[in-house]
Amino acid sequence: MNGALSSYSLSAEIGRRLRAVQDLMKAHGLGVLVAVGAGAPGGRGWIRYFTGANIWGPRVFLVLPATGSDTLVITRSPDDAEWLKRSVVGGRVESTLTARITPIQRLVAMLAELLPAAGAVGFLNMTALTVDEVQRLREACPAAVWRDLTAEANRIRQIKSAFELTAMRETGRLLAQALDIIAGLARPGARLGDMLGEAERFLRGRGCELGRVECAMNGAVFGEGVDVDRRPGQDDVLQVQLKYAGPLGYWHELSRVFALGRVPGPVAACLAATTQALAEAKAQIAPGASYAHVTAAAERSFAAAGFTVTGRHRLDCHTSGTDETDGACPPKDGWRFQEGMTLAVHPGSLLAGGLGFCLDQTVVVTAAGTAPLFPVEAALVQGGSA
Amino acid sequence: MTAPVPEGVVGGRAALKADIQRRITAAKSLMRERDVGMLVAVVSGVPGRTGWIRYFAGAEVPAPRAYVVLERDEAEPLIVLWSRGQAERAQEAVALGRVRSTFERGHPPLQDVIERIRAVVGGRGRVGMLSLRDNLFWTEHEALRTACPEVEFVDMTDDVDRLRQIKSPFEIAAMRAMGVLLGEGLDLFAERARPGRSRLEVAAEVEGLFRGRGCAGGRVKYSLGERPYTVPPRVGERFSADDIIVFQFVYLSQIGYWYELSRLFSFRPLPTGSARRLQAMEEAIAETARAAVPGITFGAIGALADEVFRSYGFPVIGKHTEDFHTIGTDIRDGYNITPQDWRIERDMVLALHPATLLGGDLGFFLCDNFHAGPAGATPLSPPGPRYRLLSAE
Repeated sequence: MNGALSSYSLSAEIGRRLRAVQDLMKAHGLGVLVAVGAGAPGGRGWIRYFTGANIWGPRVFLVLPATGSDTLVITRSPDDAEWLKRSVVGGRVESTLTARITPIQRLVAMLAELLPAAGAVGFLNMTALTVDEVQRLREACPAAVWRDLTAEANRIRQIKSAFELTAMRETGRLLAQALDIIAGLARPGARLGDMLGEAERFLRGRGCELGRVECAMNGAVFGEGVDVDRRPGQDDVLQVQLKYAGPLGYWHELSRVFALGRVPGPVAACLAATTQALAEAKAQIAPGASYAHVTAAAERSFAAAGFTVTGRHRLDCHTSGTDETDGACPPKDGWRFQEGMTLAVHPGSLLAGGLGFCLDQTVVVTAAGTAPLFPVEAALVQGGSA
Repeated sequence: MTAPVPEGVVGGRAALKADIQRRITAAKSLMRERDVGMLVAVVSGVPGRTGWIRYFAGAEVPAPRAYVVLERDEAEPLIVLWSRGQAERAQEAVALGRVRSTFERGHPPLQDVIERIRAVVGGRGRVGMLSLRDNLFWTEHEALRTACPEVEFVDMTDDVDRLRQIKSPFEIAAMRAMGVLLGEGLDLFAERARPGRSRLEVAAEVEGLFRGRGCAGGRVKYSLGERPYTVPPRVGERFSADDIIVFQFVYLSQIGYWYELSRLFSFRPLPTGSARRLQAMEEAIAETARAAVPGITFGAIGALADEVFRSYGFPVIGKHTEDFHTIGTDIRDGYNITPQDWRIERDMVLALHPATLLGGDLGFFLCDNFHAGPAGATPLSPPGPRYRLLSAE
């Protein structure tokens, strides 16, 4: 692991985040803040942000105090609790299964004790509470005031520290190496599952715990899923996109296009246009600019290259960090880029005939525009021969 | 990854499609009995909580939020989610069903569900819900009640869980095929694990095998020192010659079934105390499997496991997890916390792992998927020893 990413610096970094959110709690008069977590996309990041740990199960609560660093993670499974205890920085972990209660039952009991002194309670990911959880909270604490602090806290975590930028670069470095492994195996007749299995082996072996791979062939943006038994041929152009969280839990997205032989003209033209659209989209990003500027630049670029845009296949960019998207997705009207944000940029224009590539780059917003978090080589890589 | 079912696995997509049609027919029969015009399953992207999509459509869809809609007069299920890319890939992968994205229309997928409810039940009537209480967000519930104030939303989770807990011959065969693949993973582990090697890298080699065969994901975990809690390995951890290792898979098959399997390994012969605890665990597995006949309760199986350990003279101080649970398209296709009086039925598949906790916080977390029948439960993985002595060289 990168020497700058020692456990000491993670501990200091988590202390910084805790103090920042405690300032926010004070401003809102909150005695307790509860992060609602689940091992699902968008459900893991707050737990990682404040503890450094990954979660897997359906429900985890993180209880943050108004002062001090005595945080508590409540999870169901004793196995998950054991795992969390090994990685949580500076807090306690409890499991509920052997007591034959659920995490919400433990949280409700705790809040019932804390609330008279704590006053109002804040939540992160409050909208992700289930029907059963809200009913239990209301029954146990009928007079309590609940506040959703997710948007305010997201504004804090979207601005990255030097530590966080280093951690995201580290994930990018691992993804680039995994793509290099695929490049080494990509040749006509090679089995797709063997290429992806080797990339997975490498990433898991370096501590990437979460993530997924998406593939497409010949510029058809939506592809055909990942048919592991497919063996691309001489005239096939394979796109692989890796979206993974690195060893410290920071997401990075990186893609590459592998030509196994000659690249057909229309596919080459589409790839060149997408490369240009990515460059022009990035050029629009600067403090104060908006998501709409990025979309408009990408569409202008495709039109100038002679392509008809028929729709969208994905967002043109989004914030990224301890969650794949650490903010509202799609972004709310009025949301603006700020210096220190990290963005996964990937023009999402769908071209006539279902064509499109997902070329992406993760960048940091600077005072002058953007800087790549990890240097991206040419999008197109020539694979080996049969 | 969202992937089509490999054709080589238990009859491939055609067999899966036929089985899904059986499930839909059964669910619709239940809908008629309960007088509901639609059934809506709520799916979150939590591993082990996306099973309703696999059960009713046959594809893994790693969306943070999706809904499966069964309408009384529609032959195929409708899956609604936000991402267009995920929807397009899911449409290619599903064995049966239509997949719709709301991305380009700019509204959340629940809005499409509300529109279907209005169209099908006409703003009044009854709509069945799956995972209503523990998966539906309260904000979604409010939106449904606001948009359809005269519709009664009926929680049918337990009813439909009872359907999916009883496995068809196809499902048993699919899970047995996964047991075979995981067995290959155990062999690879036995070949690669050596003192000094990274636990993480060895686990990753096994995961590379599974992903390369099309498995959608899962976890590979260890426990050491005879503690019963299995956890994923971390960077920097290495095997040592004295390790006594439980190596466990909780993994999703190519065809959408979860499987739990673990075995015990060491590089040196087990010390006497460990060997005796293993012997007790082997007996607890055999006894509880034999006892797992239709009608026996969850509590009785747990008590039986404890009794075996007591008969060996070990101090029993509690449970480290549940002794077993049903498993299938979700890791648990039933209760989050199983009631003591819940009863096993024929053709259930159980992840069986006697969970007796011994004094000193000791226990071997040995598990397998078992098929429950009238003569007891039989393992779905190929026969073989639960303990292997590995070469230290």
